[in-house]
Amino acid sequence: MNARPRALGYALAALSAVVVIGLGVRISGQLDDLSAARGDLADATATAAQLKAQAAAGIGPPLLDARIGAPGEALAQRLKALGFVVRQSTLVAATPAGRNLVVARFTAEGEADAVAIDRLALWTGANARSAILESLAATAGADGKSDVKLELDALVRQTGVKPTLARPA
Amino acid sequence: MPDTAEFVEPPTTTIEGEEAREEIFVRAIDLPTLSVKQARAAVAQQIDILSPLPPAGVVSSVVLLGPVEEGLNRFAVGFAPRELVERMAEDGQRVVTLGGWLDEEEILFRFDRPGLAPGEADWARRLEIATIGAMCLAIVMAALSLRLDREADRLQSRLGTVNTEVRGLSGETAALARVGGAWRAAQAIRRPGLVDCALGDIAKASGGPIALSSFSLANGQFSAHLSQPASDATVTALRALGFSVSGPVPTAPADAAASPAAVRDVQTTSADCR
Repeated sequence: MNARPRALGYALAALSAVVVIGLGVRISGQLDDLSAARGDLADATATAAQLKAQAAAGIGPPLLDARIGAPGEALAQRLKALGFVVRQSTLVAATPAGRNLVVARFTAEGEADAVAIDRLALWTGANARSAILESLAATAGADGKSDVKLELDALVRQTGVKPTLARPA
Repeated sequence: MPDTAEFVEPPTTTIEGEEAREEIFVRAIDLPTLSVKQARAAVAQQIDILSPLPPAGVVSSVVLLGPVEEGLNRFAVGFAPRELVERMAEDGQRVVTLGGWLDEEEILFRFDRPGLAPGEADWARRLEIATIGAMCLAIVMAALSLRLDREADRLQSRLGTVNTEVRGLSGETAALARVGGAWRAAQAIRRPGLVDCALGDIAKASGGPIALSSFSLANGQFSAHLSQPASDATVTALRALGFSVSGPVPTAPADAAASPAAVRDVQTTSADCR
């Protein structure tokens, strides 16, 4: 072997060693980055799952389900079950309160006796997580029944609602 | 060793070209052994006699030809100048094969590269193998590095997607927290049991059922208008139960003391009625 090929051989070997060492360092750095990225991804995925669960849970259980029927009509049925004579029950406003959940403001007018009003108070208390009796006004009538006007806030399940559209009430 | 060596002319090589052919010398020797190793040792001992060149400048190779007489075997011994073998040896090659002629028969000799003792580590060859291995390793590592790059890009892309989703969800939950806060605040003020509590307390204060002209509940405050003015005892009891009472505004302090029975409006709040 003459001197020139030998020198070339040494140079090639040194170059190969440098390349292997350089690639080793690079791969080590890449593995570190990959590990960090995997950790970040796991954290972000866990956070997303937690936020999804929060958004899905909303602020409480729904009182009415708009997918079954009109919420105003559903509330009128509930009031009738409590002994009210419902003349009018209307949904006047809705605010998103979770995934597929809204806080709905209802107004209702009708007639009720003292027992029905008492039942309304008990029913509202029993569903305190889902409904708030905003206002109630009763004026005594001649036949023992009172003219009643009420405003009720209730959680209503409704499809296609996202809290990102929400504006504070 | 029997003196059967003979010098054969012309020394030639058929595989290494004209230059080598002219420099290879071949002799035949008969030895009482079949072992090439022993033949090599015998040649090494007698090389100053057998070699046509100074022993320091020559390398030899032995090839077994076959039996010639009872107990003797013929070996062909090739002598090549050391410089020729060094020149012919390729980079890292341990053995050089050169051809020579003996009795018009071509014989291939394998000459060890000068300066390399048998069994000695060939560092040049090892370096060459290590270099080739390192190159192969570098190729594999480069491929792995590219693969890791792609994996990192894929993870980053996925992380970006999840982060975008998290930002959106954070907006959702922030809006939800505002609504939830307002909802809980309203729940704290507008206690649903207030109507039941207030009506019960009014009945309790009056000592039995009592007629109301109207009542209302708004912003957590209960107000009732009695059909008949409340008695002193009722007013006292109502006040004791946390109600505030009101009636026609008296024209003088003496009137106020004289006409407490004019009280017909009572109020309470969820804080007072428990």
